[in-house]
Amino acid sequence: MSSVSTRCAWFARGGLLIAALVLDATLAAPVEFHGLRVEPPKALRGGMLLDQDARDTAFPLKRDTWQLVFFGYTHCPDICPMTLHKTGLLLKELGPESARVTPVFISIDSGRDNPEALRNFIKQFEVRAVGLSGDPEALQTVANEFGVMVRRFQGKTALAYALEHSSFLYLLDPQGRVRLLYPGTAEISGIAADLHRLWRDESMDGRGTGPGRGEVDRVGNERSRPRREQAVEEEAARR
Amino acid sequence: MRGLAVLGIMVAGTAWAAGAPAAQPSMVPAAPIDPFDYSYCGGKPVYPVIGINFATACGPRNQIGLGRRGHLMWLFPPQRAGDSPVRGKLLLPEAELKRLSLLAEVVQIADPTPSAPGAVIYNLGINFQGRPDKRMRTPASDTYTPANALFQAMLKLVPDAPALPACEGALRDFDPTMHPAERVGIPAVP
Repeated sequence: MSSVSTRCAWFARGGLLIAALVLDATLAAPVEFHGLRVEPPKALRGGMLLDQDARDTAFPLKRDTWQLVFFGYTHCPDICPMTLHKTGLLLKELGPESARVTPVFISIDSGRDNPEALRNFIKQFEVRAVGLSGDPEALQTVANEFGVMVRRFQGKTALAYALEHSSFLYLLDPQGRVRLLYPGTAEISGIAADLHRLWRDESMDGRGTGPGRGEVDRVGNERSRPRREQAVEEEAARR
Repeated sequence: MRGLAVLGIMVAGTAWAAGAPAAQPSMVPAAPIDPFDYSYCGGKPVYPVIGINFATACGPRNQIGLGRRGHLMWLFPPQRAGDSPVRGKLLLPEAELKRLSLLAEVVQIADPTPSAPGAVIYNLGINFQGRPDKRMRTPASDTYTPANALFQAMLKLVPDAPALPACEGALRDFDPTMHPAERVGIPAVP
């Protein structure tokens, strides 16, 4: 078992190195982001899941934040804890602006993961993340929208199984659309840089994401007007 | 369908082309699903099968494919009568394969852009093992879309030049897998 763990760790380290090289090569000038852009941004139908406090929660979250979504399960030996830890480091790197991002961990293990298991798992990493679980159908619907693949390897007992799954990180905007995709081994600094760039572009467009910054909610209702539009109207009124 | 049949020929021998069922669940490691699944240890990495057919309205059909084990394959018809078609096969380095796989992953989840007239139009098909196929038809352009980025990235890796003759007349929305003679009947878009 220990040799398997060592091998896993070796693969993970190798993966980190390769991913860093690949990202450098892939995401050069034409794409301009460290993540891969989903163009046009993909709107999600989503579904109803349970958060770690067992509350019914619509996914994508109806909050005025960007969401960093990833799939995994609490018995996952390597990539899931690593990703959750990484989102914590990302929030630290973003500093006060981290309030604009919510990490969302969606469990693909409806057999073992319930809200309590997710709460305990997330608590270990001291990350301000939302953990979502649900029944297999609801999870499958959400996973299908991301093209997430899950495969089960059954062990000797009913609850002894491992799940292979895609390990990508998806960045969703406050409208719940997928904007960027990262491999699970992406560098935190790259994600942070992309977020800063998106926020900068947004403020130049006059479309902020916080309350009172002219965002449009997920049913398309304008909550407050874009600043540029407001300025034009104010100018017209003055005339 | 014809395009897919050709893609099937191009990737003959892969599990997808042969219609092989997915591996049975077991604690014994089987082939990984995709190269980014780092929870999987050991074995050979596999990559998505990607097939692209592309042509200009009056030109022959060119084909590029990526096989499950990382071989890039291409078949370009002759540019002049009497010449032989250009074909080749190349095992891509790991970094390139990961780059193409990442792009394919984004194409897989992105909403398809509607088909439109263009000088060069391509049919793109992607198969990640165990997931639904992704198929689309779209004009090639420099505008960033995940599909354009994938098409250009694959084309750049091919050492030979495809047969893309310039065509007279207005642009058309055509199926590049059709025979050029059949495309003549497609109405031009003003």
